[in-house]
Amino acid sequence: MAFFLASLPVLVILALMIGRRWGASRAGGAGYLTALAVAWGYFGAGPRVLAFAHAKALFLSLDVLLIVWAAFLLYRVADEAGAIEIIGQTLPRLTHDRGMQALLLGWAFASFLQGAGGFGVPVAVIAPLLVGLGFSPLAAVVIPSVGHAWAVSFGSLATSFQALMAATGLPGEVLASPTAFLLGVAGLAVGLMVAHAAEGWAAVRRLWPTVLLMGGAMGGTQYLLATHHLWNIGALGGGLAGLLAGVLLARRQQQRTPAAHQNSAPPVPPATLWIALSGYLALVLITLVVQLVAPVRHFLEGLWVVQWPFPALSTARGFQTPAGLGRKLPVFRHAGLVLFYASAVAYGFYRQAGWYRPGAARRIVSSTARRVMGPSVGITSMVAMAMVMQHAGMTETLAQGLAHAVGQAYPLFAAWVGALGAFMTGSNTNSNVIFAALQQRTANLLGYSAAVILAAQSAGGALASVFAPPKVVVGASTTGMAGREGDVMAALGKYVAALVTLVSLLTVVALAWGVWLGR
Amino acid sequence: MRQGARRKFVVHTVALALMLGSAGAMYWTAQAGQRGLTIGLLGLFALANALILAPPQGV
Repeated sequence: MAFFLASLPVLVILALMIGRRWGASRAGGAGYLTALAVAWGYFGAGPRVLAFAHAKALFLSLDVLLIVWAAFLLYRVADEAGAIEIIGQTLPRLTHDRGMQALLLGWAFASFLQGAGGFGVPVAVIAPLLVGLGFSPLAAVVIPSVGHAWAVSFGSLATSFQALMAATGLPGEVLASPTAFLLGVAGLAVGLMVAHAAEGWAAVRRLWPTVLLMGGAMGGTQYLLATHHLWNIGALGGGLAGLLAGVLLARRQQQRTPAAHQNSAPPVPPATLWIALSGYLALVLITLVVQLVAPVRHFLEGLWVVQWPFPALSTARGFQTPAGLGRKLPVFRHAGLVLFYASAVAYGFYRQAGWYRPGAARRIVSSTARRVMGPSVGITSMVAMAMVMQHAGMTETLAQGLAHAVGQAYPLFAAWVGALGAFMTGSNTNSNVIFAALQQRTANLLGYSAAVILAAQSAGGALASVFAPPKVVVGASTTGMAGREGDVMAALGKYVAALVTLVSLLTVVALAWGVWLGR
Repeated sequence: MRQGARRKFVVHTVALALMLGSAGAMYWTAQAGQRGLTIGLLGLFALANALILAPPQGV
């Protein structure tokens, strides 16, 4: 009975999103209300326990929301200037090889856009470009959907990874290495799948060395950035490295191609391309300065830090939460504010270059507000639900039940739990918020490394998030496949299942051998 | 902005403001031992979530 009631909020979300096709914000609200009723009515969480749980949720939510808001703002600043379109148009001119075009656009550029924006941006931007290059509508959706999956956790300026830290209280230094490792290996598989989706096994046989080189650059760059406190630009840096490697490889390929077969479209002037990239280069530079230059970091941190103390709490059933400090918010050094600084600098660059039409600032702000409000509500509801469940002892009950049922085979399931959460909620971030605490507790009960299990949670969630119905709908709508989402899901399903299975096996191997990169 | 999209945006904005505001306020009322106010703020947070549950109607 206790296990069923503890799982009820999650079951409600699942039933509403899959059965009734509700959006994440509405389903999150229903899940929260269910959690509140069960916590109060059965698990004995009184007003005092619930109040402090909500207050903790406030800081955890803000920690994520600041990044969500500013990340999309930066994307809109660049998009309004036409910079995204210019970057996207430059890449296809480098090669006539369709498999290579898919790798450049659908993998490297998609990863870059996921790093910079997220929120379905990679598919929405790239799918129409691929259609314009002659890819079928189905391939045009599948290629960037699969191509950006490995970059989700450290994408959107590491929103999902930030949520993983917030939900577990574990520092990035502990979580970054295993997470980046699992995703880096998955990234190689993603590259092969993109080639397969473009031109079948022939492209895989022809391009696997290119995939290894580009994937090594992308995964290696993401790993290095993530494990050196720069996880918020992990996917962005990885995507940029992939673009650079891909461009060099494509040029080398072009030099070997007879002139009659080369692409004859006029190239984008280098100065134009540099201006287009300037916004994201500003982000990378500002992030490096804020994170690596100690006097700047200390100055910004000293300006305003918000962190509230919380007392010890106990439910009527005796479940206890120890006293401690809540989530720390160094306001002016927060990743969200760094993004805002970069947005302001980028806006200045593009305005100076004369790239904005009149009214651009108003359009940027209004479109950002419209786009982020729904996800913000969903995130806040689900974070509150997760905190209520945690403080009422519901998460503990679920963890105990899972550990008892699955036992030592749990590592095989960790990535699938993350995948389920992302499928349910359409978001790696929400999956991490809902399930990370449960995964952490289960790992502790079974004696497994919580960091590796949580890495599997985030990696599984990232890879499966592209399969979520809301994401599929966005992709299908941009290529004229509205109403044929089932075809898209059928095509995506086999790639996603293979990727999550790969991560499951890697998780088991990593735990069994005690392999721990970075330690 | 279409009428339905505008309504959705307003509902989401109000709900978010209610959630964030009540969550912050209940920290202080719980610290001060004000049970009635705390329950009221919890009710406000729940109301914000209930607002989101309203049927789409173009939202």
